[in-house]
Order: sequence, then C-alpha cells, then structure tokens
Amino acid sequence: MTNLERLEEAGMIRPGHQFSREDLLLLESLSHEEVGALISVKAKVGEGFLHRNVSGDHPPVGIVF
Amino acid sequence: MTHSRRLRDKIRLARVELDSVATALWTHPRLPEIYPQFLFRNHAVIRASVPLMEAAAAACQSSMDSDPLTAGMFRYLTHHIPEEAHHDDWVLDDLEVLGVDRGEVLARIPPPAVAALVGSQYYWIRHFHPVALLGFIAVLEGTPPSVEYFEGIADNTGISRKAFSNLLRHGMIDPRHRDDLDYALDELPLTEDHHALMGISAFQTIHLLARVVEDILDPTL
Repeated sequence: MTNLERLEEAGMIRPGHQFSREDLLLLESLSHEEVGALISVKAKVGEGFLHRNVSGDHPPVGIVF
Repeated sequence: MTHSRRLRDKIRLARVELDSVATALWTHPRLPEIYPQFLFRNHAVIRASVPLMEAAAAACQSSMDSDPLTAGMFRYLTHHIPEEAHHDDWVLDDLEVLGVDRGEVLARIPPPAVAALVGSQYYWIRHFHPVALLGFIAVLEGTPPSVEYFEGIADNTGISRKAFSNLLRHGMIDPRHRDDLDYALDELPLTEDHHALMGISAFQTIHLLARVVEDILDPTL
C-alpha cells in the first residue's frame, strides 16, 4: 500500500485532491512512522500545498519560540 | 533536495490545521477579550524555549563521541540559545500593558496542551534523539509574524501596539532565525531516520500548537 493510499483510507486526504508530481514524490518519501504520525494527529494532508505560492493567505498563528 | 527544503515541505504538507486555527484566532470578533489568554499561552510556551534547547544541547554534548550529528547540532544550539534568552519577558511586558500582573502570570498553572507540546520534546530529547527538537523549532520559527499584519490587527481592534511588542519583535528577528536553522540543517549529516523523527516531531508540534490556541476559541474552557 502506498502512503497516498494509506492516508486516503484513513480519511486524511480530501476526496479528489490532486497532488502535483513533486508533491506525490514528497508524500511517498515519508516513512511508515511519519504517515502513522499524520494519521495519529488526524492531519488533513495536502491542503497546504494549495497555498504553496500564496503569501499572506493565512496569518501566522503567532505562538513564537 | 536540501535537508531544510525537505523538512519545510513536510510542514507545509500538514499545516492546514494550524492555519485554520490562526485565521479563527486573528479574525475573532472578541479578539481584545481573548488576546490576554493568547499571550498567557504564548508565555507558557516561550518560557520553555531556552530550557528545551539547553536540554537538547546537553544531550548532544553527551553523545558527541559516538554520534556524528550532534557536534553540528550542538554548535547551532549554543549559538541560538543566547538569541532566545529573556523573550518570555517580552510577553510579560505585553501582558502588563494590558493590566495583567507578571506575578499573576507566573503563578497561574499553564494549560495542559502547552505541557503536552513542550513535554513531548523533552521525551524525544531525553529518551530518543535531540534532533526531534529541530522539527519543533522549524514549525515555531518557520512562519515569522508579519509586522505589518500585526500592527494592522492592533490598530483595527484598538489593542495598544505596545501589547504586541513580542510579536512585532519576532517579526523582525525570526526571518533570520528561520534562515539560520535552514543553514544549520543543510550542513548536518542527517540520515533518513533523522528526517523521519524531525517530520514526526513537526507533525506533532503542528497538532499540539493548534490545540494550545483552540482552547482560547472554545468558550466552554
């Protein structure tokens, strides 16, 4: 099972979401444990890619280090 | 692909939850009312910045003979620790502008979500590998506050700009800190296992950071 399939099965990817080839490569480069962590924290995967080149689309959360 | 680009792309992959919470926070209709709560939580996180890096530096120092990664990471941390010192005071200054006493802030029990966020890093550092902390820092310093945006928030809400000094100062210094981390990452001899741990730490940080802020937005808490 690919990482994409695992995440789709867990409901972490919006149905019909289209990844670029580059993003798919990144997704498939994640380790088994990283994909497990994404599922564990119920991270919706991929939406951030949509905003890759859009600055100011979301404000930063503001919790700083 | 560079090490830093790889980590940044993973963060972008998973950060939608954090972006959604951030938008809900900064567009909240009662922002002046909840802003002190936000600062309290920010203080609870930021008071742990230097101690966390010191813990990671100590872990690096103790394994330098056997772990080729830790010397470079130790150099980065010992350079960065003084840069982050006393930033918790900036948040206390902001709270004082809003009429909140410093002693009151320090005496208040921090939120469990903050303990989970910071505490998980102590676990990785002390019981597995300190490289996890770089995933945490990459999230927290990865999107520097925009000075223009937060000046606008202050002016539009009627909150004094003086109560935004922490965010405005970080808006000026964090772009360099982000770049310093990227440079350090690119120089480190990172393995696939290191990348996996930084990724897991970053994903966990995104999730727990969102919990820290969501608490403020939930009127039942």
